[in-house]
Amino acid sequence: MVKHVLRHPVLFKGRIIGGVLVLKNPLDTLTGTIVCGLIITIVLYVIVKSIPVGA
Amino acid sequence: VESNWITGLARWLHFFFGIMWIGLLYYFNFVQAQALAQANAEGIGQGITKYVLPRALFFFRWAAVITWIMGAILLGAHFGSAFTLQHPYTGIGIGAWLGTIMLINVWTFIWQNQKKVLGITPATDEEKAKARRQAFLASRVNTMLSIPMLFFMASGFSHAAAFGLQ
Repeated sequence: MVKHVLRHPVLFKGRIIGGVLVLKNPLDTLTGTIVCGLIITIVLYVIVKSIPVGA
Repeated sequence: VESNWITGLARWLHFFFGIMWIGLLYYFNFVQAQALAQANAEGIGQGITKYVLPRALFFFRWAAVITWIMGAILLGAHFGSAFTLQHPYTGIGIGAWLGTIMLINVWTFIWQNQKKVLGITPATDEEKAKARRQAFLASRVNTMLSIPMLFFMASGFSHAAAFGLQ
């Protein structure tokens, strides 16, 4: 599973070079950029919703 | 009544210049980046970098400033509450922070690097290549941030019932 995620064609395009995992920057592709934007949206939404009213 | 006029005008202009700003951002990222790569491969990229890019960047960076100012006018007395994420301005406050980060990104990383690429600021070929990459990544960061920014700008008040954000 982890190996599959690390080799995800959109998000990472990871390659092992000289025993080191080299990840492609997701911002190099439009799809990766949009996926990152959606992830940030969800994370911020959860954070905002978790703030108690009146805090 | 006067206050309503100011708010109404500010909202109208915030939308107008916001569409110009983010529209040009999406043009750079969804259209120009790929088109320029192909045009450069055919040796005709200068048509874009010489005639299109400077004009697009002019409207891009100044639309960003006016959008931010109109947004600040729109927040008015609630400016501080929004930026300190006070209830019920938390949602719009997140949007305002993201928009502010994007504005700073436009004038620092994107524009400063594009000035080197366009030859406005003197730079070696190596420095230009580095600046081109940094400007590209900064532009992609803004495209990425525009997604949550638009969500929180749009849902902060008008869709509070649907998303429960205030």
